[in-house]
This record gives sequence, C-alpha cells and structure tokens, in this order.
Amino acid sequence: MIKNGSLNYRKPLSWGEYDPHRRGNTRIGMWAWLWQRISALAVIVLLGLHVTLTYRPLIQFLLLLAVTFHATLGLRVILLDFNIVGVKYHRALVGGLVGLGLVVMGLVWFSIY
Amino acid sequence: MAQTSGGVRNIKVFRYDPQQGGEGHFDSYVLNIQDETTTTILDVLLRIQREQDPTLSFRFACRVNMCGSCGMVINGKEGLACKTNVSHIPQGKEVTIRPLNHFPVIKDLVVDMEPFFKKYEEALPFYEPREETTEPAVIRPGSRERQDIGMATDCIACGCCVSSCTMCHYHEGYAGPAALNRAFTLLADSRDGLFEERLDRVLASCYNCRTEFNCTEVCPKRISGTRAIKYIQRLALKHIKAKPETIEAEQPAVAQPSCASEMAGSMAGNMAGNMDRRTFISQVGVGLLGTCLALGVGGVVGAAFVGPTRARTPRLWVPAASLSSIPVGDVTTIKINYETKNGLYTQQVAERVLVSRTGDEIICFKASCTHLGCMVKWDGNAGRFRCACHGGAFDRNGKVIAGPPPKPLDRYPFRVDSDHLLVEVG
Amino acid sequence: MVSKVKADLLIIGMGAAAQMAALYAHEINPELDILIVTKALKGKGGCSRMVQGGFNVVLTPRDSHEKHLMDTLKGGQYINDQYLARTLVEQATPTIKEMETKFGCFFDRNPDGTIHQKAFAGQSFDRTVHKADLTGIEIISRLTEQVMKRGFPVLQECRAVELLLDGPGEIVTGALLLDMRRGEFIVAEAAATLVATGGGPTHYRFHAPGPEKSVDGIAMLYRAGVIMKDMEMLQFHPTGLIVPGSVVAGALLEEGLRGAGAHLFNGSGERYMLNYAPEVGERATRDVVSRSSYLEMMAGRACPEGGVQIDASHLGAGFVLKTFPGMAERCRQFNYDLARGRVPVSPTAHFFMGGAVIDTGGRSTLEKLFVAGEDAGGVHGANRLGGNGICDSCVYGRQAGKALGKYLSGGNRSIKETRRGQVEEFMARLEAPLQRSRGANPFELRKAIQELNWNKVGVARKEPELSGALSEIEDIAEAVETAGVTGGAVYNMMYNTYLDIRSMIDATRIVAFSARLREETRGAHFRQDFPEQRDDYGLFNIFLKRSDDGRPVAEKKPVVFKYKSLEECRKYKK
Repeated sequence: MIKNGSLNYRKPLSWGEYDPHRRGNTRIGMWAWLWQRISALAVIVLLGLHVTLTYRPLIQFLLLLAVTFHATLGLRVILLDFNIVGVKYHRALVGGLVGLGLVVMGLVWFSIY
Repeated sequence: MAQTSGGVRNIKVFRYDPQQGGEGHFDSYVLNIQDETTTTILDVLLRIQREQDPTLSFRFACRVNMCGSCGMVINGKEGLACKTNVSHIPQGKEVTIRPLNHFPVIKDLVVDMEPFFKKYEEALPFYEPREETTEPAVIRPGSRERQDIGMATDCIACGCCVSSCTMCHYHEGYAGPAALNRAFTLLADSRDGLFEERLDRVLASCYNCRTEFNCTEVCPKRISGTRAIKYIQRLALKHIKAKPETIEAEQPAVAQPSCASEMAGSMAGNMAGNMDRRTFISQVGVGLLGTCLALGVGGVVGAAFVGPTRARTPRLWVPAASLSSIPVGDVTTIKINYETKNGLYTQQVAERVLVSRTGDEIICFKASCTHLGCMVKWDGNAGRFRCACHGGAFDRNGKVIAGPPPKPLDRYPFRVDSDHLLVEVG
Repeated sequence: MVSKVKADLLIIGMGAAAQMAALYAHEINPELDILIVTKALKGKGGCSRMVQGGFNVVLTPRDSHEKHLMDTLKGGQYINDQYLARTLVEQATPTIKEMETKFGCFFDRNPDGTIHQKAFAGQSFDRTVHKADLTGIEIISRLTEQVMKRGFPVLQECRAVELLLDGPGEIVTGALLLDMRRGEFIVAEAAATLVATGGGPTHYRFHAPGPEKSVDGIAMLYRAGVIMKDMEMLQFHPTGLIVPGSVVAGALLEEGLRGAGAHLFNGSGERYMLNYAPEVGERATRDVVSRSSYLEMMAGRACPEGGVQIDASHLGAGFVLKTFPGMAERCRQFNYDLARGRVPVSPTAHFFMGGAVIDTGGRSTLEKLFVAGEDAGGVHGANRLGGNGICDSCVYGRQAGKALGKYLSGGNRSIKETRRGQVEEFMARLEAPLQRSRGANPFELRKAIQELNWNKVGVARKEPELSGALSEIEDIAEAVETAGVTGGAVYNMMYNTYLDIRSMIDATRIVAFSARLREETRGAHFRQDFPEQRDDYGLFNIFLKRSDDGRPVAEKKPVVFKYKSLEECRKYKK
C-alpha cells in the first residue's frame, strides 16, 4: 500500500501555536475548567498559610474565595455529569453557580465579621 | 435583506511548503471585499488563490457545510471555511487562517486527517445489527433513544472538535469528541449489537474529558461532544451495576416464548429500555437524594451563620445599675438578666456589661470578644481588655491592640434615667 | 517514477454508488481484494453526501412499483431505458431496507415508528424517504463506516485521470491515478474497474455539485471509447441559491420545499408557475420549473438579484425550521430568511441524465468496465425526478457490486495487460503544464468554460449558439494545451484545476454535440428554435462515442418500449 512516509509533513500544530487570536477566543467552559484548576492550587497554598499564619483576615478571605470558586465549579461538573442540568445550559451554569457561590460567601463573611 | 458591508481586510494565511520544510509562517494578503456578510472564508481563500497566489493550497469539496473538508482555525476558533463569513470577524480586524491542530500539515492549510480516522475507527463507529432482519425497526421518533441521539448522527467528521480539544493535546490515546460522539449514537441505538465491545473501547477515553465544552463551541453542526461523552460516562456507571442483571435477565427472556409474540424488532428495544429505565430511576434517586442532602446540610449551616444576623429580636432597655454605684476612672463588670422571645420559646439571658466611666464619659462594652465570642475581662494592671481564648486585647476605648479580633469591642447603646443606667439589648 | 498497485476490483469514487458496490461485491465474495480511490477524503467527496431531499422508494401497499415506474417514465418524457427504470424502482425497496438493517442508516419516522415518506414533485404518491433535509450525510456517513469496518484500502486524494486499456482498446485494465498529495502518478491495475465518480456538471456558471467535482468520470469514460447515451440531457435544478460573488452560488434549496407547497414568484411578484403548469404549479417536474424560471428571467421579470424568488413563509416559520433545518441555516448564513421571507433562486446545473450505456448489472460497453450512479445513463430518460438520484446511486451501486462479485468469482479474476506505452503517453501529456510556468491560466480557462456553457449550452439552447459553442470549446481546448501551472507537485490546486478543465472540455463537447442533434424540446433539453416536444420525431436515444480523431460520433436509435407502451405512458395521469 502507499505510505505517506516519504512526504515531508510538518509536525502537528499544537493548541495555540501560530494562533494570534486564540486567547481572545477562549470560551467560558474552558475558563471554568481553568479556574477550577487554578483555585485548586490556590486552596492548597492558602490552606497552608491559614494553618501557619492564623487569624489573618486577608488570608481567610482569599481562602474562602478560592474554596468558593473550586466548590461551585466542581458542582457545575457534577450537575453536568449526572445530567441534572442539561448541557445546553452549561454557559449559564458557570455564571449562575459562581455568582450564587459568591453571594453565599459574602453573607458568610459579613456574618462572621 | 442583506445590508452591504464591504471593506479592505488584511488576511494572514499560514503557509508551509513541504519542499522547504521548517516551521511554516504567515503570509499576508490584502483583499477588497464587496459584501462581507455574503463572503465566506472559502471565497476569500479562492480569491487569494485565483488573484494573488496560485500556490496556496487548502482543502474543500461541497462548499455547503455537508462534507467537512474545509475545517481550519479562523481567528483562533475552529470552523468550516464555507460556514464562516468574513462578517463573523469583527469589522476591520485582520483575518488569520491556519490549519487544524493535532494533525500533521501536508501543505499550507491542508492537514493529514489519518490520525482522526484512525481514532474514529478505534471507537468501532460502525453499526452491527443486533439481529438479522429484513424490515426496518419500528422506533417512534419520540422514543427515549431517538430523543437522546437527536441530530448527533449528523457529524461530518471535519475534525474541528479534535482540534479545539486541549485534552486531545495532552492525552495521546484520547479518542476525541468525534469518535466518542459516534460511539454514543450507537450505544444509544437499540438496534445495534456491539454494545459491550464498544463501551469497553471508549470507556478509558471518555474520562479524559474535562468538561471544557471547546468541542461543543466549535462544532459546525451544533453537536455537543461533551453531551455524548457525559452520556457514555453515565452509561458506564449504569453498566457496572447492570452487568450481573443483564446476564440474569437474558436467560428468562429466552425461556419465555410468550414474549416472542411481540414484534421481534421492538422486543429487544423494549427490554433494553426497561433495563435502562430501572437503573436510570435508581440513579436519579441517588442523584436527588444527594442533592437534597447537600441542600439540607448547606441550608442548616447557612442558617446557622446567617440566621443570627437576620433574626432581629425587639429592642429592650434593661436596667444595669445605679449610676452612683459605678466608680469613675475604672471599668466595672455588671451582670444583667433579661428575657427574649426567640421564635416559640422564651429565653433567659444573662450577659456581662463592661462599663468604663471616665469623667463625664460612659462606654458600655459587650463582654464578648469580636473574634469568636469568648468572655472579655478587664485587666486593671495592664489597662486593657483581655480575651482568654486566643490572646486578643483591646484598649480602654475597645480598640484592638493584639490578637485575632477583626474589629473593636461591640458597644451597647445606653441612657441614664434618674440615676439609673439602662442598656439596650436585642 | 510511477508506483503500481494491483487489486481484483478497482473502484473509482467514494460516493453512494461506489461504496454500495464495494460492500456488495465483498458480501458476494469476501476474498476479493478491493481498492477504492477517491479524489477527496474518505467519504467526503461525491455528490451523494450533498443530497438533501431524499430517496424515492415504494414501502407501503398503498403505493406500488408500477406507479413509481410510471412516474419515472413520465418524468423522463418516455425515453428512459425501461429495463433500467424498472430495476431501479423494484430494487429500491430492498435497497433502502438493507441500508437500515445492515448498514445502520436511520431515516425519519412517522409518529407510529414506521419510516416517514415525504412529498416530492412529479410523484403520484409521497414516497421520498429522508433524514430531515440532510439525507446524504446519513447515507454516506453510515456507508463509509461500513467500508471502514471491512477494512478496504482507500487511496484518499488520488484522482483517476485516465482509464487504461489493452492493446485493441476493448478491455479496461485499470486506471492512471494522480496522488494529489505528492503530485505523483500511480498505475492501478485491476481485474475489473468500476467508475462511480458522479460529480456532475460543474462546468456551468451556476452549478449544484461542489466546485471541486469536475465530470471526471464521464470525461474518462468518453476518452476511453465507452458508448454514452443521451448526453444532451443535463438537468437544471430550479432552485439554486443566489449569493452574489460567492462560491456557494448555485447550491441547492431542495425540492422538498416545493413538495411541501412553497411558491415561486417572479420579479413582478407573480406566481408564474400557474401560467406554465396550471394544474400542478410549483410541484411540476424540475425541467418544467427550470425552463419556466429561465423564460421569466429572460423576459425581464427577474427579481433584483437576477433570478426568481421562492417563498415558504406561508407554510409557517415553525414548520419550515423544523422540516428544513439545513436549508434554513444555509439561507441565514447569507442573510436570507427562508422561514419568513423570500429567497432568490436561479436554475442551476445539477445532474447528467445521460452517461455510459449500462445493463442492470452496471456492465458498460467495454470489457471489465462497470459504471454506476451518475456516470451511467438511461435510467432517468430526459429528466430525473427529485429523489430518484440517490436512489439510482444506491440501487445501481448495489446492482453493480453484486454483478462484480459474481463476475470476479467466475474465472475473471485475472488482470489483462495494459497496452505498452499508454501510461507513458498519458503522463507525458499530463505533466507538460508543470514544465510551463507561464501559459494560459487554468483558473481563467475554467471560468471561460463555465460562461460558455451557461450562455450557449444552458437551460435554453438554440442554433447557431450550439455550433458556436462547439467551435469555441475547441479554441479553449487549444489554449489548455498551452496552459501553465505554478508551484510544486505537492497538493497543487492549480494543477488539479488544469485536470478539471480537461474533463470539462470533453463534457462540453459531448453535451453540445448531442444537443445539436436533438431538434426538439424534451425534458431538460429545451431548444428555443424547436420549442415543441415532438413524439413523432423524438422518441430516440442518442448514442455517442469518441472517434479516432477525438471528436464524437453519434447514432440515433428508437426508444425500446419494453414494458410500457407510449400510449400507456401518455395516458398516465398522476
């Protein structure tokens, strides 16, 4: 059979390579995924700080923020995984859940302090 | 009707010449476009090729979004050249066109789709009849399986989803959205006979999805790869539970010839339907229970935090002590007792009030730390309020001088009524 | 350097006919070594994929093969090969059932779960099976998967450029292929060759098939000396979308729209079809509607975009969006609202009714050569009914596959020797333009051919335009001999355009030649100088082949009324 071996292919372009407008086109679903990963890292770091440096309102606030992001975005995946919310609402889900999370977080914050 | 919007556009096209090799580069072309709302990217490429640079290569066939040959990355988003109009790109902005990701580039915008077809084939994308029949199956268009499958069989294998998927980049073995979508349409199809094998094939792959929806966003046929993948994930869950049942259920079905009186074609479908329904219901049950629990716990915790600030008891003036019994220049601790009505029951409350009297000024502090509510005591020697729990300290005016308290001591409003000090509680 | 491949069965093309043939040949004889070559990617080329409407087939006892046959003959204005037409309607029923039960197609259903059949023009019964308005995608995707499953080797982006013959030129030994990705030739030799490239008339200004298609099959068959039939019968579809300046121009709005009751208006806002065909109006056959639209446009009653307008809004926006999602979306892309407004359309070159002469097994007049689908002629007579096209491809693909399976099992599995020097001759001619970087520009020549055909061999034809076209195409052919191509060998689209126009020139020659010989109006063939259909004169088929000097020679033979007499056909009312 004919093989394309002798053809001089360029190696596959990877995501974002030679792609001047890619970042501007990052969609909300991808942001959601990205922010969940970032918040996971933030939770680990801030948790460490919280244990070592107790009672710093700033650290507590950031920790709560990171946890809120991580939890709501995790909730998004669960809701989608189990088809409790249809995938066609996935965009609204990100805004809705994160918004709700932030409101709850705000209430918690102001009730403590 | 068409509102004309024309203009001059800068077009940047990725070029790669296999005879020269290398990384490739962008070439710029300037094109005067009469009406951007009716000019597709394919038209743009054809015009460049015919008017400016005949060596430009790209792939196309049907030009009406039915063949999926002209997938490319247009301004950072995958799409079909024939389905993307120049007007879809903000006015005046340059247009950049580059080949799809994750496929070897043959020349310019032409990629080798072989990796795509290979992965597609690995997912067993072909129909294998469950049983030999000559008559088309009777399946209602409103049936659960057809509702699930919907238009997902309209995939034209253009490769846009695979190109947009970041996970295809990180996981060599990931089958990608297109292959999984086809697998899903067959897994959901009651006529198909390769359920187990196909599920085995795609199971490992489907957990590589990170729910980014990139594939859904770029699909020119508006098929949601994510939806398909989630479906397979759920199917896998059901399948683990259903596996022993399937074996049991199949044997009696053979032993009961009475079932055979039904239409053979639909029988298999119905059985699969019942099985699915059972596991589906149990799963929904678990799901609902979980949600209720989460909501319940969340509610209680939330109420515990939020409740106290919300539930305002009516204000009450409680006599604390006679003014003359409070020494000037010192801090006196006074116990007050009162009743509050909280919901349905009446509560006896005993609180301590720290009264600081200097000259004419009187301040009534609450004796609870603003950190976590521990009792605060006056340390006359140090001239400060101290909290025993976490070492919080406040000065004479209640200001925080040390420790975790986030804000000064709370104060009671008070008034003096004919030599009596009254504080307001509630 | 020319590489060689050998197979028992060489299939050129990868549309419905080609794939069905491969699948059925394999079913009859699983040991066959089948090689598929396609000009595009796997399953992405060909016009079958672009089928919107659907597949005409008799499925209920209320309908009958008899009625389907009569509709087909009536639509074809009686000059069909009745033997082929009868096979078509009778084999369509098992074909569609096997496509569902064996290959996994799933067509739209009635609420009770049986297969839904919708209305198309020119039919006595609503018998068009479909999948929304994207039927081709369903059929081709499913067939391609079955081809994958059986592991047939597929040479992608390899286009056949010439058929190879033995010494006396009577046996086809294979084909010369061009691997577009490398720009290298491949000699493919086989014990039997099936030509099923389809890909009809793109040599017109407005054309429905995708512009990468180029009548290669018909041109190759003609050049190889196959006898062709009724080549003047070239269908214009009445509703090709008008999009000024875009390559999308000419793309179809499918017939189901008229079938469902859409109206056509001329520039003055008049439902002109009521004047031309008062009884059926817009549901007249394609030849009638195209001709009427063309006459309206010529009479100065065109809409501002230069065509006529189709209006489906009175059917209800919801209905239109649900029934014709693909078309509604395509219209929306170009700022037309199919559901609520009028959309400008024009007749557009669509389909060759004519083609190679075949029997019901797809055998052509040369040995070891089979033809199926659009490349073959005779099934549809002078006009094809909407929905009979994909039906033809699938049914005759299946027929050819079965015949090939049997043929190759019965001691014919030997590859004959190609005439010495033939490959070298072809290559020397074909490679010449690559050596000339300057010369006539193939892109411009292509445009010239399209304009020439549109103006002189188009919807309405007359002398002396036809003769003029015949001499003009020779001028263009001469220019093509001096054409030059820039760029390297790899994926050179300019070079491919050069190959395209070679085919288009041969197609123009035979269509114009044949059109000049039929001095009457019949079906899709409209002669302004002979506007009447003359049954006393015109009940013949024009058989044509390439003579030694490269020009066609033709012979008229009376139509054989094998099953239905002319009287029966005439009297038949839908």
